[in-house]
Amino acid sequence: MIIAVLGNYGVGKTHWIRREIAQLPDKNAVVYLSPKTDKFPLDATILKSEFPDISIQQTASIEKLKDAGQNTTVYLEIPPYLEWKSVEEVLQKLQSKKVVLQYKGEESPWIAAADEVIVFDREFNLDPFDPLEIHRGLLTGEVLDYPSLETFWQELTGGAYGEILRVKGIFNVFTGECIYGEYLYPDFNPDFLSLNFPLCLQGRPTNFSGIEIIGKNLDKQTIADTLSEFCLSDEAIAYYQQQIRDNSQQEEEG
Amino acid sequence: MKIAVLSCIHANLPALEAVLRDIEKNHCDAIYSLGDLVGYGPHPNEVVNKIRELQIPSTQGCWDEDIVEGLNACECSYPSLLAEKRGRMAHEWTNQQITPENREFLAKLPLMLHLDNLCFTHGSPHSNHEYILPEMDAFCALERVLAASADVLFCGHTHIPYVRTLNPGQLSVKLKKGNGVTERQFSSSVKRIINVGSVGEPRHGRPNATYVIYDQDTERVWIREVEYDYEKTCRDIIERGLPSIFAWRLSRGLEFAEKAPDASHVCQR
Repeated sequence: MIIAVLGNYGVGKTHWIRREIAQLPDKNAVVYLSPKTDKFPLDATILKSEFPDISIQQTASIEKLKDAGQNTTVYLEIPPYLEWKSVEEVLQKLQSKKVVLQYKGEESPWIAAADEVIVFDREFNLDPFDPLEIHRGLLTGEVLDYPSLETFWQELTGGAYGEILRVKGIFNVFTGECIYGEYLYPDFNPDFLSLNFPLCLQGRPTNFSGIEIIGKNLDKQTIADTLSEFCLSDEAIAYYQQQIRDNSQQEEEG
Repeated sequence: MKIAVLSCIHANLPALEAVLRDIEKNHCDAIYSLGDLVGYGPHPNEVVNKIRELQIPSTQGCWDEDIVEGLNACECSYPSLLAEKRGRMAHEWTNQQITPENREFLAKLPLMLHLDNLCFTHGSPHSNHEYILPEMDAFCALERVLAASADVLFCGHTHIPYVRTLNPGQLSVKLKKGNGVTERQFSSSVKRIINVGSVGEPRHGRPNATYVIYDQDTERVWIREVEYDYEKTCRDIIERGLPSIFAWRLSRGLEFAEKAPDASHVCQR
């Protein structure tokens, strides 16, 4: 079965897919694909950390997807910025089930095509954020100073670098962990979730990390400059990794 | 006698002027400053000039010392890499702006001032970089007041005003020297620590200035919160070439960079 999940920014498409996958008994029989996100696979990385056995596809032909849909559950997460007419054509060819998530009272452009509609119990007006901008910062290979990230997160979501609708980020921090943070206007969420990846205790991490910011009047240069202020040097990374290795060894010996 | 005590002006002239007007309205007999006249804000010379012009007795704050001696803080000064980089940027800017006369004035400020049973200091009697937080262990807090030879210790540095009363008590201290142990008894009368907050760099979630009025006769304390034209300071931060994030943080009553990470931390500077 192929399930296309459509909806606006922040309405909870990835969270909905997450809950669906959690209920499936065989995670090996799950395929996830989000078109045009292969260079910035943020949602795919989050799902892979929770469900290591699912298959993440970067791109696939219609035929291949149809084949996959015979034996597995294929989730297609459709980013809202993709042109709907072309998407609709593809979804018709795939004969997919179309699940539309929308805010209460929202006039969703995908609603006419929906096989199932799920209404998020919250009203939301995107008009104040028009025209929306999307800023993506790739941070793969970088390790961040965590207290600085907390400060930056407070400033970013508080509006210091533009009017923010939605932020998602995956960050490698000096503890060796890979963490995930998200924000949806206007709810400040200071908590980061530790993703289920092995600690990086040697060299620079190779997993995807990056930040996606959706909003208006974004000061992209200052955002980039500020982030670069707390990316750790090779020496600092090696120092912290050595400390963590030493601590682990002491704990094992103790 | 009514005494106004202010601290941590941080080169914010509109905030200082508003506080001085409020002091005048409240008919105070004397004003004391606990330092940090400069740092982060856009008006370092204007603020020092005002303090000099009004002959307000002032102790030396950590920022005043850093501008004279260069940065030499221990880890308690900055809670993060970002804060440290911003602090260094502000230090460099202030260092370039300050006039030789004002630098000399800052260099000569004392670490402590006394008036009767009152002591005025920026951080603690031990260091103008040390935070006496409200959660500090009572024994340590009492030690700080006793070290100041005072009944009331006025301090700043944390940017959040508070009043803490330390009840009278009997202290017993055992000293181990070689194989012997000596025991000493101390008795302490009621002591108070009064943190006067910050005029120019609030940390309480609003941009307003805070300071304290203390009545020596009644021992009453008033923590004053004063509104001022913070937007003027924000405009000057940007126009004078300081990082615009300082303006954003000031307008929300957030500290610029420094913050005490831990009440039990003893400054090693």
